[in-house]
Amino acid sequence: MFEDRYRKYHQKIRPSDALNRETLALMQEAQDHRASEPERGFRWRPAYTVALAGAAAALLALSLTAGFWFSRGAQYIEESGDLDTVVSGGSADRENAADVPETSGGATGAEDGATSEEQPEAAPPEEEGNGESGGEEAPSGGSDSDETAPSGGDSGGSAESDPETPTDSEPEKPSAGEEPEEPADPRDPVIINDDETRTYTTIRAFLDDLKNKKTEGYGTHYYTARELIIVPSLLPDNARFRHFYLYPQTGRYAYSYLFTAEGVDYLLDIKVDASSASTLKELNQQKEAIQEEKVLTKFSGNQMMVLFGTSDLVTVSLTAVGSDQELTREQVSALLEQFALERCSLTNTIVDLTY
Amino acid sequence: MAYSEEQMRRIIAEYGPSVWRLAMAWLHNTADAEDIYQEVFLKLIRAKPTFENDAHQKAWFLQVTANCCKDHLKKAGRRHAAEEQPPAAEPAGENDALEAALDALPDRYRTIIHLYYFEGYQTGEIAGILKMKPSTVRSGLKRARKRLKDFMEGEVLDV
Repeated sequence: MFEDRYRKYHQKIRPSDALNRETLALMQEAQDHRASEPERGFRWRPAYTVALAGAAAALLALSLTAGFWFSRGAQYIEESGDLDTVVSGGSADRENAADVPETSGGATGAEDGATSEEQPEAAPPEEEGNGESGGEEAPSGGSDSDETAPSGGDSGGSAESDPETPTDSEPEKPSAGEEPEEPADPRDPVIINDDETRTYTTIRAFLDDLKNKKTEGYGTHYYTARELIIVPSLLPDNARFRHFYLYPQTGRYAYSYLFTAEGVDYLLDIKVDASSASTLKELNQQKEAIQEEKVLTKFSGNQMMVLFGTSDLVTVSLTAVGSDQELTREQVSALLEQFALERCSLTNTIVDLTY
Repeated sequence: MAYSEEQMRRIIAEYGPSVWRLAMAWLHNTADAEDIYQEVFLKLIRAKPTFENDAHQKAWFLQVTANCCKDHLKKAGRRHAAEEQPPAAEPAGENDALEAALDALPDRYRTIIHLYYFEGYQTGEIAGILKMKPSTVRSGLKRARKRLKDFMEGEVLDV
């Protein structure tokens, strides 16, 4: 049988004794060598370093990315979601509210107060944005400003026409159980904290707010867009700054003054619809352009429209307070001659102006 | 686990012949087989494997031997020394035909024949040792038998 032959043939095939001795010596030597080596445990390898460095880099990249988007998100929320309610209408307005008696028509208006008892409340400016002024957000509402001006109760002649659109931020009326407060002077500034409008009772407050926004990282876009602000450079001596409204969503702003001429109180509303520079480059271009820009003035009814350059339009409305008398063009011209507008740089000139 | 000298001697005595025969069956070269022989036992010291039983240990030795032989042939190329003959245990005349027939077989067939007929493994076990498919082992065994039969001219192979 093949199997038997094969087995028989290979049975005698064995390693030699010399080979076995040599193999045994090699095994002992190898074992002794291994015994002298340190015990195999954890050994740091270059691959571990590479893996650790890679993991650290990945973690760092993730952290930076997350931080970046988190900050962007926070900034976005601040600019969009909370822009009007928290940032703009919050502390700044409350601070400004404290300035009201000193800076606005409040104190002086009370002194002048010929018509103070006739107007229980002043209408908020946002009403005009929804009213006849064509949906614009500016408070002084163009030709319809007799109905929609911030002090519409004053100029429109009746407080009854306005209560239908009170805002949440209007001063609360005293309840029956409370002590009746002194009737508000119609020339007192109306503090408005709503989603559409910021209210400043002084230009200074407005500027401070802008400066604060800058320091808070609010964004240079917002700041530089209004660096070239159009403000009055000439006012009647007795003009009293009343309000400054800023419309964050559109970039428009408006302000109003009270002044007295020949025994009559007048409300002057200025609405500025100026283009905004969104970048520093645009701002510099705008600064260059306005060096040679022309200013056109046009009268229409009780309004004066001033066009700066080709697109920046300022509408000035003049209404008599506490009087139904309609101003003639001559009267408007004569009154507004005491008044002039100019561009000012927020970073220098305007900051030093005091109103 | 450290082996004592006595343990080493016992291991060499017990598994050495199987390792040697497989190496010789595969390589047909005494010098190469000696290298493989020592390498296999050194691997035991280095790897320090643990065995479930003697059969497992024997299989480990044969598997390591087969792997070492494969690697050796890959590195050195085919160095089949035809002049090298295993030591004759019987009168030369009786084994001439068998030796000639085995020499004529390819390496892998010779190894399969050795593990099957001498070590007594089944084809499935051989497949495990040589890391082949069982079907490959079976077909290799079949072909090896046929070649041996043809070569030995009428020898009856009871396979």
